[in-house]
Amino acid sequence: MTAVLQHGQTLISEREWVTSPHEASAAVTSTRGTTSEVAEKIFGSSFTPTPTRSDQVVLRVTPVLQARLERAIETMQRFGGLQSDWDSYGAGIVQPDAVLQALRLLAVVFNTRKDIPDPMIVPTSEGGVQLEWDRDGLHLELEVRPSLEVDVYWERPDGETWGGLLQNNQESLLRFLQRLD
Amino acid sequence: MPDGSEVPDDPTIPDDSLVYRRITAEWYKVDPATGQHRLTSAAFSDLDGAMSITVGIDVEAGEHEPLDVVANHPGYGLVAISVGDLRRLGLGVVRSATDGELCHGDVHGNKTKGTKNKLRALAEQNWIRKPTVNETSSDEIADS
Repeated sequence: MTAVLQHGQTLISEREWVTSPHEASAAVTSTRGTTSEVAEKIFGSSFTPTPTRSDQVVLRVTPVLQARLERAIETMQRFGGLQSDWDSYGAGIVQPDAVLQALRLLAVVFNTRKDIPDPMIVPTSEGGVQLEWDRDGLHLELEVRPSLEVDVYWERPDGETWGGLLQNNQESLLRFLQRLD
Repeated sequence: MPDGSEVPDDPTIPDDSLVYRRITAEWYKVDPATGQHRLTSAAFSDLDGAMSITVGIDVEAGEHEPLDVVANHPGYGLVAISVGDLRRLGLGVVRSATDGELCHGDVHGNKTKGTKNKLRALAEQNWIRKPTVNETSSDEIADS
């Protein structure tokens, strides 16, 4: 699937939060794009933010985490304003599917580790989205590629590093997040 | 140089010379955890099999200044990395002049996440100019 955005379009066209004492839920819709079969399989768990339409993802977090996810949505929405060659070296536009996938991933991360700080969120030259955490000598990255595969990389203060694809289940994400300890 | 024999590399570009890479404000953002700006490893990715840079000795030979690399790119920052450091990471540098950039070059070799983070660390030590946040940057939200 190839999605094309024109300059100035927002990557996320609408969202509406529904809150209850225990859950905040938002249906986030991309301007264009589809969610592939690969995306629907990723992070199956009780937290699963199941796509309800081909271009929509439902995010579920606690009300406390709603504001944090909303900040991430605002940041990623702005990536839609980046034209091709936004890095001056030929970068591609950020793909809507990658944004939705990054949001699904981040909702799972926040639900899994409520003490994790907000990540730095950056676009990649290839049209993906990268989430980064960096504290006390520990560096963690989750890169959502345009193909929706997720690359994981971490460095520990003792110099230990690991990199590879995030497997398609929440257990592998948990193992990754435990590296924060 | 590890695995250097298979990586394209121009030996006429000396180890003690520099390459320059432009940094968009999208890659130098506020880390919400610290409130401080930080460079991302995403700034050191390949496109079409190599990472574009500007060859420093060619800039000097043309009697230009390093900041000329960003002269037509308002708001962009500029970092420098030594060619020797690149080679020690198993990378190679070749010239690849374009119509728009006569001093253009490419950094070849496998850029794993670990390599990109080493490049990030090297670049953080050698800013020529930091990017400025402007109205096109998604950093505005994070800064507010």
